[in-house]
Amino acid sequence: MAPNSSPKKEVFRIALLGNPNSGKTAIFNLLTKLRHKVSNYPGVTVEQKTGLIRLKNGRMAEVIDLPGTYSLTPESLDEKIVAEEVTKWIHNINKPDVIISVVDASNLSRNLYLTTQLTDLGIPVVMALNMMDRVKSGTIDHHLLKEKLGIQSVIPMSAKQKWGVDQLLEQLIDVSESSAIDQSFMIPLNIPSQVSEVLEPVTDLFREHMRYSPRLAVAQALRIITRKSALELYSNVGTDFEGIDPTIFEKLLSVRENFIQKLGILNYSHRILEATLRYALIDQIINDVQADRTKVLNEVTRSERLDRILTHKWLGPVIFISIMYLIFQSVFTFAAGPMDWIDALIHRLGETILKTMESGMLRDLIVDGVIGGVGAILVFLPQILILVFFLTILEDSGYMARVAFMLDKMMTKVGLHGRSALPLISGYACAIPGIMASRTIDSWKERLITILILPLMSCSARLPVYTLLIGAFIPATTIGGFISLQGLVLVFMYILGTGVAFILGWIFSKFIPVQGKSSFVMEMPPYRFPIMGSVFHQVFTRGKLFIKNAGQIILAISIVLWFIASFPKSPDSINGNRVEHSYAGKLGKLVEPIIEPLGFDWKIGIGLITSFAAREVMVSTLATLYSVENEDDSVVHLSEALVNDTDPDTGKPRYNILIALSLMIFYVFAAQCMATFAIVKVETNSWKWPIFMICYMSILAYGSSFLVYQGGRWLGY
Amino acid sequence: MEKMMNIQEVIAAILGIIALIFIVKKLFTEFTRPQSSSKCDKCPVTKEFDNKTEF
Repeated sequence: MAPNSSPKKEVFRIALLGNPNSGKTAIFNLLTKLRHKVSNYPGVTVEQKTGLIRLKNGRMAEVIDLPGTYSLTPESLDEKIVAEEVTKWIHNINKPDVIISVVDASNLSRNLYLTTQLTDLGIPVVMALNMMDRVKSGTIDHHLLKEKLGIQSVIPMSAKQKWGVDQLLEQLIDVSESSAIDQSFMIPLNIPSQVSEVLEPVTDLFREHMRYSPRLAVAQALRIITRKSALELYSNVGTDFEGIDPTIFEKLLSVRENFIQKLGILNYSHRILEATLRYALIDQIINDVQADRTKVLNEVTRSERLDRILTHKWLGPVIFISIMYLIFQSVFTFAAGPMDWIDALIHRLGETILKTMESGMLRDLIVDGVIGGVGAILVFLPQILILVFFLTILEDSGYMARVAFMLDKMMTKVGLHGRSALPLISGYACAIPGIMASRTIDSWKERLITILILPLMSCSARLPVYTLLIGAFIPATTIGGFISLQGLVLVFMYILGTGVAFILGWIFSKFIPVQGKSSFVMEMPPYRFPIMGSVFHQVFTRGKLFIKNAGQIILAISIVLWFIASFPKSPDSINGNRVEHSYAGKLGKLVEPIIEPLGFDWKIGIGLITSFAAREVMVSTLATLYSVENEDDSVVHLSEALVNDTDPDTGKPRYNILIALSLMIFYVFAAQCMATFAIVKVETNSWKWPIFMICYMSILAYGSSFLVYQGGRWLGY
Repeated sequence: MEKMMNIQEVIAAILGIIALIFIVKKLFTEFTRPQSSSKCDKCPVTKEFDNKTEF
């Protein structure tokens, strides 16, 4: 039995559908009180999310937030997710009781395309006419709009200003208490009679073999004719859904070819047939319901004026690089105070334990392993939060969509397109959501290349490594009196990763065969003031993840590392470094010959091994090693320990600016994050690509560090 | 009795074992977790990439 045909006691299913960037997730969050990510660019939601609510009539309701789509004819993977789900609904699987069609009121024409498709499904549709705060009051007759579309209701609202949600909920209650809708009326499209005649064999197949309503049969016939991707949704329909002729796909395929030929004779293009018919209907509706179409948008001119400067051919990139520089400089400047506070707090905690606890193995483990290792990482929390704060502000304001637009031309040259820009920019915070966001890319080849180069974008986990080494070895001087050298080095690391990512994208595009055509039509969202609640939520989420990582995997690694760095206990007769003779030391010594040409010693070697779990583990590893090595009962300052570490044989500093640069460049390229490779395996559905990624990134990291270190030495550094 | 581990050593050893088990488990789950579908975290994976649709 189909779920929707069950008695009313069952959970009421509400599906949220709408164009990308129409505010679906914002409405989902308002309905469910959940806090999923919302932003001001298309394609933020790339997977289905669900939440439970209790309606005022006491009935439980499940709200499903689907990725944004412009139509039910899939053009990309995230749109395919929606199209597949809708195909299931048509066959009474997971069918929602009501669809909330989220519509951006400031762009009614384009948004109504999907709504008209949804009305064909035979499921009650309630329109959430969102973003009404951007439309002059009285310009849209929503009562007439409801009538024209033949839907349950149109609720004007603003998810940003949080009004209209109560009315939406009331409408949902009404629908939950009403009976099924009438499906007998015909599709309101004005289909020419000759087209209707040739369309008949396809509609007949749907009606007879699939038992579709007349309206749905015509809608689906138009869809499968427009795009082969829509037809392919039926490739497994015979086996996936009960009672369907297993040969239906072959039959549809054959009638489609026949139809396309006949349509060609009538001088109609099959690819735009559905769009032409629907937009004719939409134009008619909008002329009736919208008072003054040309003056609906209040912000367009403002946004366009800003775009003339921010996306200018030459000025645009200069502004972008300047903004990024300011952000990275702010990371250093604003975080300095809070970092000192956390550092002082951690040291006070360590000293308190040293004073109050009896000496012994557990005390050493807590002070040197746990506080030394995890504390060294927690110090970098303010920097991560500040970076995420600024990146989220850029996303929410709509600026990142402009960056994607500016990068489009350059990306086309390297075998990608602007659609890859947003996932790549997401990679600056973390590669994992970036890799998932690549689902918005329609071409498999371009998506794969984006996934492969994405870990080269310097994520926030690299920030502790960069800033530790920059703070310790790069002089805190300025160039020209106002450009900080430390900030500049940090920006260089980000630019280096990005630049090499593009070069490799171009190389990969020469070797990976083309599978599927690509297209890039990007909607420019209007500039808007970020929703600060959402920005702080993003910052909070990232901070929580960082602390969770520190409290779990980094803590565990620090504890295990403390053991292997402390045992076996070296006899008193052995002089010098105790850790060098431990298991960890032996492990580091084992890899030392391989990494010596890069300027790295055994301590860094241990860090390179442990940081495969997560890049920031390098910092906690070094902190633990120096803490264990330290024979005094005191807590070690890692930055000072690195600068003051000397080679016992030569008496010279063990690390210098050249080794620091070599190590930073190694981290720009190195494959040091197991979670990234796990997600690549999931997203590509194979082991081949994560293994390839580890190999190419490791070779690149080694080669680059080798060149930097050996080149530096050759130049006399 | 000198060789008997004191309480600090016992707790430290337990913590070490727990940490080691956690790391091994984490490694194992990262790479053997069932492939989640892009549709939802709990759904089984579909053949999204086997079926490289021409859109």
